[in-house]
Amino acid sequence: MKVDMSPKAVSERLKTLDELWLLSVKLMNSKKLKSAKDNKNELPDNARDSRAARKENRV
Amino acid sequence: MNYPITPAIRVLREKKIEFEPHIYEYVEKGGTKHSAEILKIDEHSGVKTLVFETNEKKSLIVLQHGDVQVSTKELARVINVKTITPASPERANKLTGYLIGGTSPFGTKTKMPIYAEKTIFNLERIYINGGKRGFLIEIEPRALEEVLNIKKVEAAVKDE
Repeated sequence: MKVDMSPKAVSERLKTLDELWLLSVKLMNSKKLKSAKDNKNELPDNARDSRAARKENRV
Repeated sequence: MNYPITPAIRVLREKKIEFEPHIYEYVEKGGTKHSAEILKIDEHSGVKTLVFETNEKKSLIVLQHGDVQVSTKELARVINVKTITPASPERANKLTGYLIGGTSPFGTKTKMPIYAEKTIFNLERIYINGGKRGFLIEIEPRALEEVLNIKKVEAAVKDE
């Protein structure tokens, strides 16, 4: 396989690799997103109240 | 700490040079000023790696303090050539194998003469690119001499 080693082609390949690297740095620095399960366990107060009310009505 | 294994890192490991990696979020054209602010270091101890060409199209690397510029006129006089100009980004990328902004003097694709500002060696520690944008390595300046064939010069001119 022939690889284009012209300065332009080399630069393009380096830029692509660099984009991946910069993305990985951003990923390393980012905070973990909450999963759907985490969100379910952390219902806001009003949501919890309405759930409790529904339960009471059933009883 | 996770850090990329670049050709520069391979060379340092091979030569058993101690270094400390520093990763920060790169900003286009932020230069050593930005990295110094993020890493809370003196910009003077940040060392930039620059690629130049002589009038005879011979390439060379210059290591200079982050807070000063290279006097190409003075450098040309010192190394006895007519003129020196910065290499184009594409040419520099091809010569070094690194992308502009992420150029390290270690592990370059092409062997080139390396000139370093004399006063860099008066510093205790320096911060130099590790071969990626946003990746600096902290080393003792003598490591430069241990690994590279350095010629010391005085070609600094203060930023205006």
